Parts: sequence; C-alpha cells; structure tokens
Amino acid sequence: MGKSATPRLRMTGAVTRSVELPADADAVWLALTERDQLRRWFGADLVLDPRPGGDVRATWPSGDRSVGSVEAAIAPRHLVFRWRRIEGAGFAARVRSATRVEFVLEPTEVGTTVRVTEQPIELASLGGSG
Amino acid sequence: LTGRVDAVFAALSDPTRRQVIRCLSRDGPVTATELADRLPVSRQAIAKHLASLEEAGLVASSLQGRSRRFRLTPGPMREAMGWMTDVGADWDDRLDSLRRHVAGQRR
Repeated sequence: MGKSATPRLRMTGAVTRSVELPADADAVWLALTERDQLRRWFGADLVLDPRPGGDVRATWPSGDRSVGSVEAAIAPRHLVFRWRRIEGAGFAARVRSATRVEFVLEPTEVGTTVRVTEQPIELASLGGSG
Repeated sequence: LTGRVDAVFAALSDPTRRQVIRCLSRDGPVTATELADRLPVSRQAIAKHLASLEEAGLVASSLQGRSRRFRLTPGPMREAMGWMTDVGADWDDRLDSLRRHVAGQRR
C-alpha cells in the first residue's frame, strides 16, 4: 500500500468522481472488469486481470497504450490498479504520468454507487513490468 | 503532459513548501536566507525545500552578485491543474457511458 492519504488541502492531485448505477454491486463489478463490457463504456480496449498483481493493458483509439498492474481486487467492493500511458510507439514513444486508479463500490437502496479516484504517482512506485 | 505532473504534486504535498511558494508569490525573488528569516524553518531545511521545488520546475534560481535568488515559475503548476481538469472530464464522460451501459443491460 502507498502512504496513507491525509486529506489536508488536497494537494495530491487526486481527482474523484462518483456515479449511482441502477444495478447491484456484482453486476457493476462485472462491468468494471469484463473486457467485453469495458469496451462498451471505457473508451479504450481495456483488459485487466482482477487479482493483486494481475496485468492491466489498454489500447486507446489514438493507438496509445497503457500498461500497469492491479494493486487490490476485492469483489465486488474495491478495485485498484496502477498504470502509465505510452504515447506513440518505438523510438518516439513518450511515457506520460503514471497514475493510481481506485474504484469503491457502495450498495445503496436502489443500486450501487461507484466512486473513482485517479491520482498521479511516481513512476518508480508503479511496480510490475511494461 | 509528461511525468512532471507527479513531481509537482509531490512538491506541493508538503506544508512548508507551500509556505515557501506563498512567500515567493507574495514577495517576489528572495534568497534562502531571507526565506529562513520569514518562515519558522532553518536555513538548511529551506535550502532542501527550494531544491525539491526547483527539481519539480516550480522554482528557478539565478545568481545576482554573490547571492542566489529564487523565483516562482508557474508553468508546471498550470500544467498540473490542467492535468486534473482533463482527468476529471475524462471520468465524467466515462461514468456517464458506464451509467448508460448498465441501464441498457437491465432492459
């Protein structure tokens, strides 16, 4: 785990959004982890192996790639991965900021709330292989 | 956008470094000694913080006579704020698509 996130002054660069979905947490978990479902909403062809250390790979419409690994996966509640995006290919490829993406699923009376937080991390703390 | 964004946020995560930035934006270019006089921190600590701010691109220094003066260079800060705006907009779009996807599956 990373250092504990003290929420003082929000200078960590963390971006948080949430949405309430009309489905139970199990169904939402599948929407977050199954490639065929991800393809329909994520905006990239994202493949992730939902277990700690599992591979994360994405291909974006522009041809950019993202690679990373799963940090935590507790179905159907908590999914965390770290990844970095690689722009272009070969010699001209450029590595953009690495980030940590966290999904927290919370059952509600009518469905499930998903809260996602993405924040920059240092490349060195990415772990896994490219 | 480059790998510098995480360095900017790491630099801004420290309260003393944020004080240093406030001082520089209020008072303009100053020396490490002047900063140490204004903040409740030793000159050595100020020098260390200035070095990490300089490494993150938030501060630049130049020699004037025998003293080194530090000034703010706000470009990376703007870049970091732009990064947050872009990432937020991406998730707004994505979560909107996710909601439509999940609602569509129920039918």
